[in-house]
Amino acid sequence: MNCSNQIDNLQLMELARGAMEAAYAPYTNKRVGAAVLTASGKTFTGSMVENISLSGATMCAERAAVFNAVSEGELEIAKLAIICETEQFMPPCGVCRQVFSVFLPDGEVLLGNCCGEEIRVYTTKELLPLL
Amino acid sequence: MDNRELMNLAIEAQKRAYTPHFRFNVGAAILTHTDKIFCGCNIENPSFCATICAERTAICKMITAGERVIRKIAVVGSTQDFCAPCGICLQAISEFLEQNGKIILTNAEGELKELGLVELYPMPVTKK
Repeated sequence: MNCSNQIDNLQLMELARGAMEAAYAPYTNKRVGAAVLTASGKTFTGSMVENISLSGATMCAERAAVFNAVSEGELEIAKLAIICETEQFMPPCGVCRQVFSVFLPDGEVLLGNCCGEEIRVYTTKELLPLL
Repeated sequence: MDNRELMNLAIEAQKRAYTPHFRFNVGAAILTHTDKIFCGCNIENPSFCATICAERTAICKMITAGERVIRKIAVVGSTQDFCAPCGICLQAISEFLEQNGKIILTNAEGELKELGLVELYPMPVTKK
């Protein structure tokens, strides 16, 4: 956990990139990392953790980051950055969007990729319009 | 089968929901591209991780029967407003809903709403 009031989108994405490098993805070899900025200015990261069951036991980086924040008492998340080890800007899965609807319903989701500094910005409401 | 008939099957399935913990009853009915019907209800569990929603119950039944393509899925919940599938179910539906397939919702007044996937789940995570 870090604390900064000045963190910008690029810095948040860099934290996500660090978490991506720590991801445990021996089955897909596509590591994913995420970082959240809380309403109080704190940052938390999360790494994807795959499991051989490839089902409920695998944890996405996005949820790992959100739960990291929530477990430290930070329930309001302003921004969440996601980066995947691909050229693609990987949108979050439906499971993660469901979690976003609780902890960052009015927040922003930033997507990055492995090829440059471009960041695509969406709102949670754009990703899950009816929830 | 029209949307009203499919929704009536979802309402029948809703009556079989297993919800001793939250009493939030949901039903779903799938029409496949081969005109087969699969219904599901939600099944709660004290470990909430093990709870399954009505939509995914219906999908599991469809897959187990050898069907793969959803033409329409009707969903009914115990809510005043239209009850939309959760993100987990949208992820599951996106895997099997045919292009231009429809999700049909209802509310306490019995009105129907027909939506495409991207209206509920833009930029779906899919390999298609």
